[in-house]
Amino acid sequence: MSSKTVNQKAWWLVLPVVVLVGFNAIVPLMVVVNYSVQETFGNNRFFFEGVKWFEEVVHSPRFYARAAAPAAVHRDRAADRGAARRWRSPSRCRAGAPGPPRAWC
Amino acid sequence: MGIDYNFTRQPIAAWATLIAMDVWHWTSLVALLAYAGLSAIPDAYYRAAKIDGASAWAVFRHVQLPKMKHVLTIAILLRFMDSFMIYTEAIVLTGGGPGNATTFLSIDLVKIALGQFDLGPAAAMSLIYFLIILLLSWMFYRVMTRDEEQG
Repeated sequence: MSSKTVNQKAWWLVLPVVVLVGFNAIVPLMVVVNYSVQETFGNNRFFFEGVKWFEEVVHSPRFYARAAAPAAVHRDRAADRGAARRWRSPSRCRAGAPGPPRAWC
Repeated sequence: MGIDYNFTRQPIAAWATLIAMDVWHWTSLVALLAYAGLSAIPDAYYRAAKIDGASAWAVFRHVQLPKMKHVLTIAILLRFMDSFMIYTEAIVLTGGGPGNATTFLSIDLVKIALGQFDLGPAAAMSLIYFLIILLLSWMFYRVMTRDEEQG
């Protein structure tokens, strides 16, 4: 049998960290939650909007486009190929001619 | 040098540069975690492996890797969650370009919140993003620790 005195007082030593984390993480999170259900037009005036912004985000193509950022690479490359086709002409592909990179010719 | 590499114009080059920057940035942390995990393996395992005549590969496969599993899980999970927060590299290197090739959600959030000053949509988007990361991380963690729970 251990003769050590068992108590839970050491948890008080953890309290500063809990307070610090609460202040630095939970408070900003609650501020964001607060903003997400309101509209503002300045002058520190806010109007309750409910879940309007959430619905807008869920139905926004921009959100999905950004969430799938790697897809933009393919999209931009396809756009580049289209631009290359438009630019590719004998006069433009002469050495020293202004315009697209010669790799396109 | 004759290589057509321009990260301000080519999306693939921009991504390659971003990945290189991120790897350069975070490899040290993962190496440190892995080294700590490696140092924590007791010598008894190595001695037992030596007595059994285990090869270097067998020691790695059956001693080091299983013993480092927790540390590697934490390291992978940390990097997995961190990768969603990528902002600095892209904004410094390309500003989200070329086009929108490197405009991550984190960059777009800042543009919406501080560029357009649409605080409501930006806050809603960030909360949805947070929930997606939380869900993906939880699923990832469950998959990584599935074997232990079954055992």
